[in-house]
Amino acid sequence: MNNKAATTTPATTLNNKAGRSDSAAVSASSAPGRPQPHHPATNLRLALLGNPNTGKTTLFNRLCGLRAKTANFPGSTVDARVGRCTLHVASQHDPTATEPQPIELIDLPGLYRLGLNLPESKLCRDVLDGTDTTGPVPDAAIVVADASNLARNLCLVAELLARGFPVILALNMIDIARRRGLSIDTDALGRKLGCRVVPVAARQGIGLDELRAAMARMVDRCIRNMPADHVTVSDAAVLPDVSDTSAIAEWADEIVRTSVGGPAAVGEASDSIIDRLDAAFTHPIVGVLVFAAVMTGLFWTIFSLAQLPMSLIEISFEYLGGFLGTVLPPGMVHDLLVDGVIGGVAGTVVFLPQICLLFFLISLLEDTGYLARAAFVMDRLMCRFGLPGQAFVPMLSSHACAIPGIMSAKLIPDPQDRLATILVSPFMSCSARLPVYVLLIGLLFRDNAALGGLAFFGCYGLGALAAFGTAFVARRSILRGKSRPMVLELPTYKWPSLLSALLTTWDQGIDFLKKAGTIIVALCIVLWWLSAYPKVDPPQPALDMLAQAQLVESADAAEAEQLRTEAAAITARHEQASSFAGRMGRVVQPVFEPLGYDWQLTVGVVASFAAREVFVSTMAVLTSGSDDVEDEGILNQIYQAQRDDGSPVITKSTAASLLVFYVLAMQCLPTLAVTRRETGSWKWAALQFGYMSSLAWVASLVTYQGLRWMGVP
Amino acid sequence: MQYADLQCDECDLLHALGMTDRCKLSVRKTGNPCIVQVGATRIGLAQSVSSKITVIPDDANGTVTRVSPSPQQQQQQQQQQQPGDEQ
Repeated sequence: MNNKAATTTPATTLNNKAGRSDSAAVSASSAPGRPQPHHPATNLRLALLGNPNTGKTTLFNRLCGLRAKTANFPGSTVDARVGRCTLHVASQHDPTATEPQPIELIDLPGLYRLGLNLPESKLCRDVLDGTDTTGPVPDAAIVVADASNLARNLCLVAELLARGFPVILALNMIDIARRRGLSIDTDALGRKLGCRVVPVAARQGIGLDELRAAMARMVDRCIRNMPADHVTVSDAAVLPDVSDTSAIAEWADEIVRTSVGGPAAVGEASDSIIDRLDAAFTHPIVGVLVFAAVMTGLFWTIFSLAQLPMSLIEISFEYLGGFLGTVLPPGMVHDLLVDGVIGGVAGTVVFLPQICLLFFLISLLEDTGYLARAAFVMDRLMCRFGLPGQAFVPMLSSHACAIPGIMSAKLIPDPQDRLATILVSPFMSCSARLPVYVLLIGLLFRDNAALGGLAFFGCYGLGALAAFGTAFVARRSILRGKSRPMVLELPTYKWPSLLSALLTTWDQGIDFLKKAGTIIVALCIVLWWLSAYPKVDPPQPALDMLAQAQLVESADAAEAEQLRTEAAAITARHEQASSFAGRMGRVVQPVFEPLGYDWQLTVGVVASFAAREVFVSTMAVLTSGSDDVEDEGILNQIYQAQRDDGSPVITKSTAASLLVFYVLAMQCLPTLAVTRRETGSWKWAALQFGYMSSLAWVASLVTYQGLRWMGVP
Repeated sequence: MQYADLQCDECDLLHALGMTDRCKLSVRKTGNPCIVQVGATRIGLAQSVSSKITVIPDDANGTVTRVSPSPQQQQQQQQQQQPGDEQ
């Protein structure tokens, strides 16, 4: 046996059977619950189970060399996730040597019991029974338990043992348990349970070699079709009837009493600091104030700290555009690269600092354990609108992206609650809206970071208000019924992991750049072509100005230059207006004219129905030739863009109207596809799209017309 | 531990969280949410759930409680069990 037993294989497949043979020996129709003899043609499969928030995904990441998302609140994993790693098991030919054995590790959502009528329990049952899409019945199970809270975690071990699974019990967070004065006799515990027990601290990487060695030993026995590697069964406590919750709890308590020592062996130690924090964070008034302060601080930090890196990115793209402009000869390639690709990509990439800051701060916040308390603050509010407290996590996740938010709604037990959450989650302001918010709030409150931060908070608040209002109406019309009351395990408070937050930020930043480098570049090229063609002759007023400039050149060179500049601006506007994009914009513009949008804004809004962040790059491309602003940044270029009549494209009232539109509108095709998948019907996706877009239009109309009525330009 | 008017699924979840019949728990915070500690687990309960749980104080300072079925609830349980026994 090689204790340094494993090499990790970063390749992973999510929810698929990649790499598995179709001739798997264990079919979905085989008797559920008990692992079948292993077929040599397939990879061995180990299921990673445990109570919520015990560090399963952290351990999974460590074992498979992956970076799946982790968080310090229950329910951060919502689906079965398959990873691969290689263990070194004893060679079948030479007992003194080892040979590599690839295995599949299935990371499952946290669950309390297999027998519960909850979505996560059903999903785990399906995986263990081999009736889910991830593949056949796992060969064995690794139960990840919180070492400080052993008794409750053992109930799940009992259920798995009762199903006949070979089990390894990984006592995670052993470092915290020891700091609390707990001493766990792992040998005695293993003897009582009849399975191997390995203390680990997955976050710090402690005990992983021992765990891999135990896994290799178990895998070896699975390959040889030998019985499970129980340390000894002589002392094993007789398993209780797992359907009897009281009996199983007493069994677990008894095992803990005989194998765990220390002042807090049964976990009854109280902590006055935690009590005070909990009391404050869940207080009806203080809790709301803390939540508001945390969120405002978050957005203020994003808004203010991102200014400098944004300026640096803008300057870099300006330099690149200027360099290419001088190197390339005038012509189509020059215009395509300078105005289309660089202008468009710069309009998106400039918001990278905000995106990174958002994910970094949310990751830190998730790690602290505060969010579970905030969920109760929000539950008081949400239940009045017909949303369950469990909807807090999906709605919070939707602030990063609605897609994982909607997917995490699958852990909400009640179907009506789940549907209501899915329908309203896209109202929460996702990171794709962030560039649009920055652009428009920058125009509205350019010199006041504090007001800008408040406006940010207001946008997020408006989205949440729309979500609650919609849920209120839906729960009294199409989704009648009361939401389920909230019962939630409160995780321990922790110092957030800086490394984890940085890794999350890196991953999300790379994702954003990939999107900017692929989809957005493609859209920018299409939009550039639409806005640059067909080529038309300069209009008569521009020709007149150029003629006059030639006449006055010798007498007044400055006036001649001014005339040429004006002529160039008129020509550019004429070309834009005559382009395919201009013509299409004019066709659709009557729909958006009451909201204050000209044809350029109309094209920007329509293009961003595929993805919201496209708006800024579209505007950057559309306005690239409309003014002499080569020395200005992308944002200033958009701010200074002019309509056909010479008035600004974006005024304060149109900026406010656009802001409201982007808060409320459903402009994300992937989200609609996920809604369809999770609800099983295009009907709900169509309703979501129609309702959100209509609401956005009406609210923007009211905003624009109201501001105009008050005299705002 | 006894629950009045709670749905079966909610009862099962509470049991799975360690709030079983006659378990020992400490009330860390009253109100909405009510926060209880069972073993090392802190559990937040919405008021609509906590108001339906019967707990019986176990010691002088009232922070540790022992929960057990009320006589009326025991009777209800027995009535529910009888038809099954007959079958």
